[in-house]
Amino acid sequence: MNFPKTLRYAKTHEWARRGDGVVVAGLSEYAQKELSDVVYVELPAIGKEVKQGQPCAVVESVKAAFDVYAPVSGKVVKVNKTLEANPSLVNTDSYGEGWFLEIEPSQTGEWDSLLDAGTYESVLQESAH
Amino acid sequence: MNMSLSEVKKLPLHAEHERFRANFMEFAGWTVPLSYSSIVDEHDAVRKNVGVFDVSHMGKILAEGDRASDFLEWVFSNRLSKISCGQAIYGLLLNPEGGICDDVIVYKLAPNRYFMIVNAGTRERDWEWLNRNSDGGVRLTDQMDSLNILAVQGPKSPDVLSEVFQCDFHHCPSFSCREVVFRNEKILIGATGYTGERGFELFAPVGISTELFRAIFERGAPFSIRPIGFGARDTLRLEVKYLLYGQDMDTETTPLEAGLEWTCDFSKDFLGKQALLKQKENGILRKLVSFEIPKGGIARHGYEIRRKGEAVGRVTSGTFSPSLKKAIGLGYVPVDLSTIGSEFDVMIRERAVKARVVKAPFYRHAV
Repeated sequence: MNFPKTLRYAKTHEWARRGDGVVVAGLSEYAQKELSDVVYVELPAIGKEVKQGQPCAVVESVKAAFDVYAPVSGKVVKVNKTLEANPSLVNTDSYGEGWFLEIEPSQTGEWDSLLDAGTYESVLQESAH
Repeated sequence: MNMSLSEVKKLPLHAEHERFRANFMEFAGWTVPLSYSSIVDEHDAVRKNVGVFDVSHMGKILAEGDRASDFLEWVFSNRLSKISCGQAIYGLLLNPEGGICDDVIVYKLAPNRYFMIVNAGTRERDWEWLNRNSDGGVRLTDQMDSLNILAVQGPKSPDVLSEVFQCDFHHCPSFSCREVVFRNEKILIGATGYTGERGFELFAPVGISTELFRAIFERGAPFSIRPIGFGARDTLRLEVKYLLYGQDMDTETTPLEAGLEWTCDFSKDFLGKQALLKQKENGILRKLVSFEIPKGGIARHGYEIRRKGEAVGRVTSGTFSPSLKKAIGLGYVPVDLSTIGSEFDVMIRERAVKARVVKAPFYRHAV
């Protein structure tokens, strides 16, 4: 599986990328594969305050609904509206067109609590045993 | 009671499913394949070509003896005398109150010899119930561990079986059944299924089931055959409004409420008939309806149904229909909300989302 080194990850399988004063977030390839067939995505309203580790969006596969957790706390400044019409982008391009939202972080320290690609991968391996 | 992992049983063909890299799930005390690739791909494969389900978790009961016909005619809601040897019939086991104990398919093998497929979750209760209601003259045999069930479903299923058994399966009427010999063992094959497609269910001795499984995939390869998990089984059956016992019906619901009156033959006597006649007279209060949700999410089992903010029912099954590309579901609602076109709200994550009653089945195969 592909876990880009430029991204950080949450144990709950979200990825985060630092941009210009914002953090972009989406679901890791592992999450995408586990979900399979994403058919519905529910995104937060712009301006909503989210908390690290708390639900900020919903993703539904054919089988069930799952929460997406905010990788950092802050204000939602942008959401990927394209996902509402084309939720399968989460499966086909999880690190690109399948992004979920942009957060303007309120706690600078939180970024460092996220896992780098290597650590995330070893967490996945541990939970597989 | 908590079921520990050790009590979850594995199917006899578990290793075969592992070879196909199945993702597993637990269902009615069994570890069963959830999917092998993607639920949508598997669903489409059955609608378009052919797929194989291992449904060996289901209960298998043989009923035979001088009074087998009389006995089953009493405990089974549909009229068994309607069918001949080599045919099968769908119907219900009801309790005296008219509640649904199980939905079953009965295959008539010989004049006083019947084979019954019951649900996994109700198998033990059915077994006890049947034994309690039998008064001699009928011998019941639990064939749970001796038989395996493979469902070969999809428009190309007759092609595959014709190749595997070297005889014609293109002209088997729906709900017919026959015996074939494979590796010197008898296999019962019913033209039945749970997908809304042409298809067959194969009841084979466990001892040859691995060989049979492999032969089906070998001979089925030219027809793009693939293994199908329980994820797609649920979307396929829901699209054609085949009910799932324990979800869409149980002992608290009657056939009149569940829309299964067609499985009850009121011209004969059967257990539960009097209660149903009374309910017919008094009228029912709620009804199982098929609905779709144009936008705003997917209804799931257990979600609340509301009318003008008031809770009036529950979703019993809900999913995203891969064939129709929209959210569909079943649920019990007050009778006055059950007509086609009626609207109500389904509570999805504390939001009221509009649902509309539609005609069932949601999906009809273009034959």
